[in-house]
Amino acid sequence: MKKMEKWKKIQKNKKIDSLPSHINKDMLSSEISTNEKVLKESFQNCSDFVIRPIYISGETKIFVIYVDGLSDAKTLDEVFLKPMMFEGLPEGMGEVRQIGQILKQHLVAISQVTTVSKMSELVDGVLKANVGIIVDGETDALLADLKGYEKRGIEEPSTEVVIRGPRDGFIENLRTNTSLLRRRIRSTSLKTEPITIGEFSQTDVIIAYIDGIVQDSILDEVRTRLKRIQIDGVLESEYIEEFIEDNPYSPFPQIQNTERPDIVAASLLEGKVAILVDNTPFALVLPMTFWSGFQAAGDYYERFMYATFIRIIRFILLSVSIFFPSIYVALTTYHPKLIPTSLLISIAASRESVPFPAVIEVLLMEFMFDGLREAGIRLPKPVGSAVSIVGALVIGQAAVQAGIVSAPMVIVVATTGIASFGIPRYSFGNAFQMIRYVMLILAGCLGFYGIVIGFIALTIHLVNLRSYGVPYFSPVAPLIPRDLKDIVIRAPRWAFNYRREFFSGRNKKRIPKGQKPSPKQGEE
Amino acid sequence: MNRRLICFVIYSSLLFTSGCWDRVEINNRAIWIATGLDAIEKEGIQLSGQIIIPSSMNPQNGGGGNGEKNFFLISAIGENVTDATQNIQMKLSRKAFYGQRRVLLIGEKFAKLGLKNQLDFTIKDPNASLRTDAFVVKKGTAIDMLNLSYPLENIPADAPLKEHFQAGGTNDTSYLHFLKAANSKGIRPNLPAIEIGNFQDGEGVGKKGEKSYQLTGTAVFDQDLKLCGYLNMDEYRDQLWIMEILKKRSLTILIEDGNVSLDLDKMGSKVIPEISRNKKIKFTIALTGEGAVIENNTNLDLTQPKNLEFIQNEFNKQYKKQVVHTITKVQTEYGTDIFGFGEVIHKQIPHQWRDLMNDWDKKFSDADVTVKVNLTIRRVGLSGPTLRK
Repeated sequence: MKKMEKWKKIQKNKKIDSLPSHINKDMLSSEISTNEKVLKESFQNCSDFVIRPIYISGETKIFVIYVDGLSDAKTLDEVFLKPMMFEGLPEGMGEVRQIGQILKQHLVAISQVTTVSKMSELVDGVLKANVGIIVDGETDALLADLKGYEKRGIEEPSTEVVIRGPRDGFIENLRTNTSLLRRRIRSTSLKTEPITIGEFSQTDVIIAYIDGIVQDSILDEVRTRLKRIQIDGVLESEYIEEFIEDNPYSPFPQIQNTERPDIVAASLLEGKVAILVDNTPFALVLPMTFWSGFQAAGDYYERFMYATFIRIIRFILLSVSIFFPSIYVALTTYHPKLIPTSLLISIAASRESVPFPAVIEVLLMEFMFDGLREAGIRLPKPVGSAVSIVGALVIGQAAVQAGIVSAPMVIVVATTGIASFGIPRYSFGNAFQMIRYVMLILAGCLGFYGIVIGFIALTIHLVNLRSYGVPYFSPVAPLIPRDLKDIVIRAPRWAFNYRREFFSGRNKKRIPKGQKPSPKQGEE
Repeated sequence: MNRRLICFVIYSSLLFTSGCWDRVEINNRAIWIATGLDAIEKEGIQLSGQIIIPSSMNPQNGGGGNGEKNFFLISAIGENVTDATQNIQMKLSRKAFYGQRRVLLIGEKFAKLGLKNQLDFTIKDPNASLRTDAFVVKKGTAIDMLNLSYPLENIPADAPLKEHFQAGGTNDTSYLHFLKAANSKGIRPNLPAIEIGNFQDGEGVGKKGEKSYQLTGTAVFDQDLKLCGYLNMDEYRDQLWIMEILKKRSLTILIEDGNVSLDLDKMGSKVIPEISRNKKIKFTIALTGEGAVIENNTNLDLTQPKNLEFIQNEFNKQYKKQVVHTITKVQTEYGTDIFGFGEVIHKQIPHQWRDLMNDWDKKFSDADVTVKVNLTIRRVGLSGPTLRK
């Protein structure tokens, strides 16, 4: 705590130091040349900073200030500079005092114009892609919203693909992202509270929630935790996530991240809180539970029976991805009695020439698999396919034929690899990827006893986790039977009568009962 | 934080220093699939084992064909089984692994000498499975049988196991049944018996002259676990029916000049003991069964209720005779209660059992047995009257 205070102080001093000494209280001066001087000093050595004087009656009357590339220079030319330079102000240019007023009226073609009176506000505004206009003799400056920087088009998020469902994803532009949300929830209850984080980056962060559904205690906690953050820059939502999660020493993410606006909207409707960060397509959704790691967006866009079926498959895949290699090792080296005779014999037959113990064999293969996986992300696209083919051949066939690994082991590792991608949330799956190795070592040392120890430890850890006061394993532990409709099974839409106990605040009722389609519907 | 680290180190070293490390790779184990026990005069017992050769089973090399045997036989002589096991290990490059042993073969001579003092090892070894099918090799030795390969099964020891399963018996719990019977006073143990011979000759299976084996019934033991005789397959089935182990059975009877077969798929039995005032013991055995007539080589038209009833009665009559014959044979020839009638008394009239149990075999032999067979023919098929008209 003490360290933090000290740091704060230093930062504060720095800020004061960097301001020109002869300016008091940060107010704009009525003398335009002073303002020009101050601005030029602030933006010293900033080659992308443009301060453009406009001469009226041969005198410098107006300065247009913007950062090149951030603001839409073309629109600026058309709606502002052109009429000023060539047509002149319609009311004549006599009275200097009125210019500001006239300008403000004249800039109606620009959607958002604000007046600021502080130099720092002006600088901030210009850095946030506005065009600043200062007029001689005025102590107010105008900020015209003429954002015009390059942004990516809306694309389908590559990490969360659905078969059926909306295909738009968040982009790096915060405004676009909020618009994607607003388009889904057209209610004044959808609140988007802005907050700026980052000493230098001054990143816009938005806390989105639905007023009336959200649990106030969670919302307050989010606000206070966000306000506590002191960081130089926020380049990705992960920067924030690590500051505001409950248990930093856990392999499991306690805040969900998503690129999909529909997931965020659905979470908001459940009473969760979303944090949108500028310059990243990944929004944070909290609180997160263990089970939301298994809920894919597609679950809610398919028929509920299939969604339930696929969810059960997913749970099986999860256990396969954690336990399969370790169970294989434990069975073959400690408890071969438990393997059916003919299977044991075929395993024994293929292991006959393998020089390594089973644990080493699995570790080797798992290492190769994870290596391939990591290399696949890094490699340039044209090389990638070549490497994966070689990798597959080397691991799958050559290693077996050379007698370095056994064929069942390749099956085990490949199955595990496939299974580990069955978890819909990528960052959630990463946790299990690490646990797999721990289990493997335990199984190699202690057999089933080790697996059981590992499983118990894992369960204890998971049950102890909390995300913003919500137990990570809820609603299974603690058990809330009403909320079990969206855990292992995905109940039909008309059965979601209540919101989740832990997430939502006042408004627990979700949809009215009795909406199950039937011939008698609507008769009553 | 420091304390946590110390705790972590202590706990994790606890895991790895317990010393109980029994990790053995599969390629360091000899997979032992069948055990044979034979009596050798003077020297004691001969333990033999069938061990799989995994490399010959490699599916990549075409699955053990080429007429090569994919198992090998190993045997050693010792004072008792543990002694013999130790002697066997000297001939074995890998640690013998008994966890997959599903078959226990007992030579006739060994069985006749009595198993009472020789079976402790099968219970005490933690790796050895009680889920074992034990056989007595009739007129033969266990080692001879272990040396035979079987054309259908990759693992030859699977063959007797599956034969027993097809015949419908205690299957892989037969050894467990045996042990239970050996430890209770109201039932005497029996084990399925198997016989080596040229059973495949002239039937198109296997090479000419190659020996094979078949299930021939059951071996009956007395109280000292000594073999005292055999029952044939039909008698064995009767015993299993009385003990309610049998699930399905085909019955065939002769009527006039033809024969009829009934395939039972629901079978039941009930044994009711009765002890009269003069200590005379009487058992009433009610056997039931339901099934379909699957073969009818008589002139009777079974679609007629009259004929059906006749056949049903005929079945009841003939099988009653057969079961009575089986029980009488056991009572008179062997005098050991393999049917577990003593246990029935123990359960139903416990206070009387205390007086009876000490000399049960004698009392079992003297008991009166009444058999009621009540079969129901559910279906006769729709193919109409028989071809013979």
